[in-house]
Amino acid sequence: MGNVTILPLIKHYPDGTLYTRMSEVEAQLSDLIELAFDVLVERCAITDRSHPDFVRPECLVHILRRTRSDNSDARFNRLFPLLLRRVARALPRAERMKDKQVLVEATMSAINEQVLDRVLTLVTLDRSGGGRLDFYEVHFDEAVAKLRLKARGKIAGRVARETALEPDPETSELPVSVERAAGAFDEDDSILFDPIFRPRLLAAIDSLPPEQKEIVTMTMANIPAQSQDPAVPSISGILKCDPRTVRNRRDRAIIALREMLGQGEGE
Amino acid sequence: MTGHPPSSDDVLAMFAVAFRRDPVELGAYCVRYPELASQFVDLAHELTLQEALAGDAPPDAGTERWLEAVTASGPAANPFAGLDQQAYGALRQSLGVPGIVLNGFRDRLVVAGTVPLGFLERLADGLGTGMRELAAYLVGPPTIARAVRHKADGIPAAAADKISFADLLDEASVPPDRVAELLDDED
Repeated sequence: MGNVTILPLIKHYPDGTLYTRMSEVEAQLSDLIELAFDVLVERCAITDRSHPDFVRPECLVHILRRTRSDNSDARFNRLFPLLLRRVARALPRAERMKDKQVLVEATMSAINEQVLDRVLTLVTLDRSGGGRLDFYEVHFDEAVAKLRLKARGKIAGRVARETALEPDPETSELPVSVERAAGAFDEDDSILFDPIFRPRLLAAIDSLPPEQKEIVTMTMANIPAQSQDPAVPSISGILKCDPRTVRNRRDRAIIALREMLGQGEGE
Repeated sequence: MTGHPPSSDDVLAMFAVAFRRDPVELGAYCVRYPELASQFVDLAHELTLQEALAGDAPPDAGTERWLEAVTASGPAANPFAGLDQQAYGALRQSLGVPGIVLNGFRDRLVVAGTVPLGFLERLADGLGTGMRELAAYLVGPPTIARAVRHKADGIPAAAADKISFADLLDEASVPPDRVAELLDDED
């Protein structure tokens, strides 16, 4: 016992530090690599994170990559579907219930499909070597989120062609909902920080126009609209636009979000 | 470490970890890497979206069907088969690489995991095939033996008779500037 080694990662962060697995991942791996393969597969099939035998996705990636030196695909073929299911679970759900009906968010679903397709390619490529999956052994969820970022960029053009673009907020007429709120220059943004709305809020933010979504995301990260101190990051500084534009877009976004969450006037 | 500047992919990975630890890092990263600001913001949204909406519910029926189909796929077809000399030359030109580089892909002499994804996508497009199909073909054993053997970092023993993309470019005497461009074509 104890002769099996955990293979080191080879990639580096931009600051020069080597990718390093979390200590809990290393600890679990030390136990897992000593197990009989059938037992290992059974454990990897457990998807309930609270189960005592749950295998962390970072560990599953490592175990799958260990099959690179196998002479046959047998072990890989048993583990690969389990990894794909873990990826599927790390993606935001595209379905939601409304009036007892299941609705599918088309863009979110398209992005998820592209992520799964890309994982197939990455895992296939990784079988021949390289460090492309190293980050998946370090922070699995973040790696999947990064794939969604790329997938969103790829389908953005397609979606833009299918969706009517919002008029330029600085030059065009305001939508009715915003006209109604004219004069309310600084909308109360507490809805962005209310944990009760969190899941629905994030889905609603996802459907905002990009220029509103980015401002809401920065607001939620506590970045101020403007700052007199150049050393303090501000939304207007990052976007290189007028602070009034930032507040205008943020107000429009908040009004739209309130409506989507059923928190409009009189509710 | 090499002397290359960090790729945006690596910086985004570092940001993802930092943001998960403390969302305030979003502003700091936007200031430190202004050219990537919009990507940081988008990735921050993806991370919070994932946190709020990813769950332990099993995949839906459509995803299950897809999973069944993709994990039961057969042996990879050769996407280079049927490419005549003219088409082969046109592909080499569109990729901007010498013939020896393209031969390396055709003969499966290159370690597919070391090839930037952007280059692979252009190759797949030129061959009229998908990334997945191209990847499946490339990870197979070499179709011819190599006279000179190299071994790149992180390459498993089974692929030891292949060479890294960087070594292939070097063997083909591709100029350093072009090598840097090709290696940076991650996606």
